[in-house]
Amino acid sequence: MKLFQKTKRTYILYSIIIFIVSSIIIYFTLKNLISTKQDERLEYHRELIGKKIKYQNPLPIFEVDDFVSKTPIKDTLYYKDTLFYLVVNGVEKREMYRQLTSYETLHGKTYKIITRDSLVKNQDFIVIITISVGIVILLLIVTVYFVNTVIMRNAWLPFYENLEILKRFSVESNQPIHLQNTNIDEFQELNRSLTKLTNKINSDFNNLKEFTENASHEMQTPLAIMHTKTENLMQSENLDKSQVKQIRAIYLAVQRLSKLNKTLLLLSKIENQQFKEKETIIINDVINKHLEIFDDFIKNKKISVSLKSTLDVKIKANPLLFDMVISNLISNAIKHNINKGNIEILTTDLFLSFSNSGEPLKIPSDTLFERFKKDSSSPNSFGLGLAIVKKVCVNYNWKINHSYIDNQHNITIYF
Amino acid sequence: MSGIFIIRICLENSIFVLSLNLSYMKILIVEDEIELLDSTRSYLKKQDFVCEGVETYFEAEDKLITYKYDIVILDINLPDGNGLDLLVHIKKSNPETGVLIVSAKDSLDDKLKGLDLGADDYITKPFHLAELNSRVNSLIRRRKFAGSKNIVFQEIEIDPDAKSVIANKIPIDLTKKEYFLLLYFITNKNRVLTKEAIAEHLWGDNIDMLDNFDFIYTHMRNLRKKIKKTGANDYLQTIYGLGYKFCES
Repeated sequence: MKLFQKTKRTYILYSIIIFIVSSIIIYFTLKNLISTKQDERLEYHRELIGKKIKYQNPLPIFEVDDFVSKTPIKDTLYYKDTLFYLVVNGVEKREMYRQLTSYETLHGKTYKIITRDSLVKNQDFIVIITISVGIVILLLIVTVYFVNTVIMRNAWLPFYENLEILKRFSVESNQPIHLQNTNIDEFQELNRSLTKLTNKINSDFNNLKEFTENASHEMQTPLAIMHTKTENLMQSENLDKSQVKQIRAIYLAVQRLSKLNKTLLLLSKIENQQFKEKETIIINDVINKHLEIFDDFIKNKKISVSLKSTLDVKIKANPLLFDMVISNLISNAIKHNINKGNIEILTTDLFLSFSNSGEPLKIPSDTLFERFKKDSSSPNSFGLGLAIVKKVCVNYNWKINHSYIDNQHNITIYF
Repeated sequence: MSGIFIIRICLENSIFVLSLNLSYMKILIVEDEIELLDSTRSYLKKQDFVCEGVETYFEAEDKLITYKYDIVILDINLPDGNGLDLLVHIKKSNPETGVLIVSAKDSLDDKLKGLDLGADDYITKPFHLAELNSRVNSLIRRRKFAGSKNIVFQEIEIDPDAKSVIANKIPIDLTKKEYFLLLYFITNKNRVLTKEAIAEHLWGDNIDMLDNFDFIYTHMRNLRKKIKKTGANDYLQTIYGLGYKFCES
């Protein structure tokens, strides 16, 4: 959930609760207040009537025979809400009334004095006041809500823009990030930290890259010395078996190290975008060239190869890089193939697909393109071939994926 | 990729024809690593080249002014200067000299720059000495003896022009791989060649990703059979645990 939505929702929820609670409080307070006042008025009128009976007995206007009993009963008074039938303009109406009933002993007689007042006008009054107050509260809430939204949107806008900038940040592009300015302290601080952090990442990454490249370069010469010295050693006459064995072991280790070093250098060069020149390449020509190079390996495993394509598919890329992609894909398809297996290559304008028969992967498919991830335990493999392919694909914004269906491995590059 | 490069060079070689009388060939090796210089020099000396080695730009310049060399093997990174400047100097004063650049940096820029400035070939450290020797030989063939003689080794004769081989005066029908294998062996005669070096020469760098070299034996066996069939001697020796050797004796 977005922070925006979260605050909005919380705000709305609390607003509704406050609105309801305050309306209820207003309603009951008003009702209580008005009822008290009404009761006071009823009491006042009762007293007035009582006094009139007492001093002006009998009442001047009408005869009072409404006494309850000649024997005095205890003076009581009580309030109640009651329905009262009225006939207004020939229409019978029922209305709620507040009624004060009292028994009063005057001149030895007990009078029942009832004073009542319509509750309807009170009710209307309360409702009107409550509604108007409610409307005011509601307006206030809505106004605050919109003001808040506008403020939030403006305040958070640079944040979201910066988020987009950060998402696009790539350590490989080696570009410093330029974040949107904001006048909010927290965001300013965040921006400062982010800029510092990304600059640090960039410089660390560059240092690391430089280090890898320099280290690899520096290693080439000692490796060359070891290589040539071992080769010279091999030329000596009268080597005994154990010497031969040891020389061979050293030679193979040097070979391996040299290959590894060369491959790592190559990877870092692709990363450094040192293969900028682009040419139009006819894919099938490249594939055929490499199929010929690998011919011996293909025949050795008795693999059948088929190349299907729509016309002469062309692509713009660096010829060296593309060579490497094809070479690695073919060597991969041979290496992980079974005896008497098959390789199917399909080229179209949109994609390039390599399928080969083979055992299922022992490592997860999505780690296949990572460096030093290898499925086989073969000592001559570094697990860098597909990493190179992937690097080139990333370089050209091509998509690559691997699938395994019906004992067939498939690697497809989408251009 | 350098593998493809090697094969291309080999194909180019076939345009020029080699005389095997290489004993006059003078080579200057400019290499600041004394150990590497020693190995290279001793390897090439055994291949009947006259070899001199220098370790600095200054010494190299000195030698180049005084003497004339057929081939200069040039390391780009020298302690007191850039090998590329030396290359310019060589090409100005003696354009006949073939230059083979050696670099620790397998950088395309350096390579293109070097080749643009007139270098004839480029090899990256670390390398097989046999490979370096092959390159030097092909360079000599291209530089000096365009359109002359065949490569002769005892009763075996190679015509690089036609890519044909005659042994014991009988033509042998070799496949492309067998032909290059034989050429590689004869160029590096009397040296132990490992199967890794052979594979790299014939198939290029990429094949190290594959670990089965069985088919080298197949090519080797077929080559042997075909030469034997003509009644020529079998010069190919298997050196226990190390590789193969093409021997005169």
